[in-house]
Amino acid sequence: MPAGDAFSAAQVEAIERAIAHAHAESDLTYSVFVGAPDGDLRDQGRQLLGALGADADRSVVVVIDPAHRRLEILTGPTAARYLDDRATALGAMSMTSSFAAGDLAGGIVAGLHTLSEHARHPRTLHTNPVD
Amino acid sequence: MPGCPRSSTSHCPPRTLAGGLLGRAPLVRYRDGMSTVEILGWFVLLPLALYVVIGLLVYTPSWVRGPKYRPGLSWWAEPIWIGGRDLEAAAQSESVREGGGCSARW
Repeated sequence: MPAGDAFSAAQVEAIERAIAHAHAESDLTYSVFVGAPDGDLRDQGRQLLGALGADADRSVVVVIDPAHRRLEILTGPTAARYLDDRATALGAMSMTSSFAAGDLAGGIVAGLHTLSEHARHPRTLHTNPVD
Repeated sequence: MPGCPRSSTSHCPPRTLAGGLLGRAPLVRYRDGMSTVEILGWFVLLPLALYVVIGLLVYTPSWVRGPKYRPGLSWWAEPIWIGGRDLEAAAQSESVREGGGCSARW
């Protein structure tokens, strides 16, 4: 197949909307990497988490390797308090069920909704930064 | 009709494309007759036009959507990080230990 973009403009827009919605719902920062890294997928995720700098603490990074049909979800230390491993596994499950049917964008959107639903938490007064 | 001269028009049935090519009147012909252009239009151009229209109706949606991911086949696209930072800068950054997460396959 020729080289090109993984998603159409409409699909990217749908994923960005899902990321914005997930952020508004859970107050965590979400990002989705789709590609075929040479090395270990989890190491790639750790590097991406590091690239987020100060935001890494409250971030959720989804790393998808369609070539090898692998998926990693990494949570920052604070994000992991609201989104435990069981919740990330549920999000991964909703993604992979769509991926297996060939729907990458739809799976990402569904997975982000699942993750943000489980990460939803009440704001703690006097500790959350004022928007 | 046997014995009908090629140049004769009276008492002879009109020649069709096939009959004309073979130099004799055919055994079966249209009552109203069809010109060569009409025959080509109905039996060649019309099926071709239908073929093209049906083909466009079938393939246009996938052309609009672009290449589709098919599990098990090689991945063709450039890496993309939606909601993240610049990927080239990210390649130079230090790894950070995650707080949790999971792995999955499909």
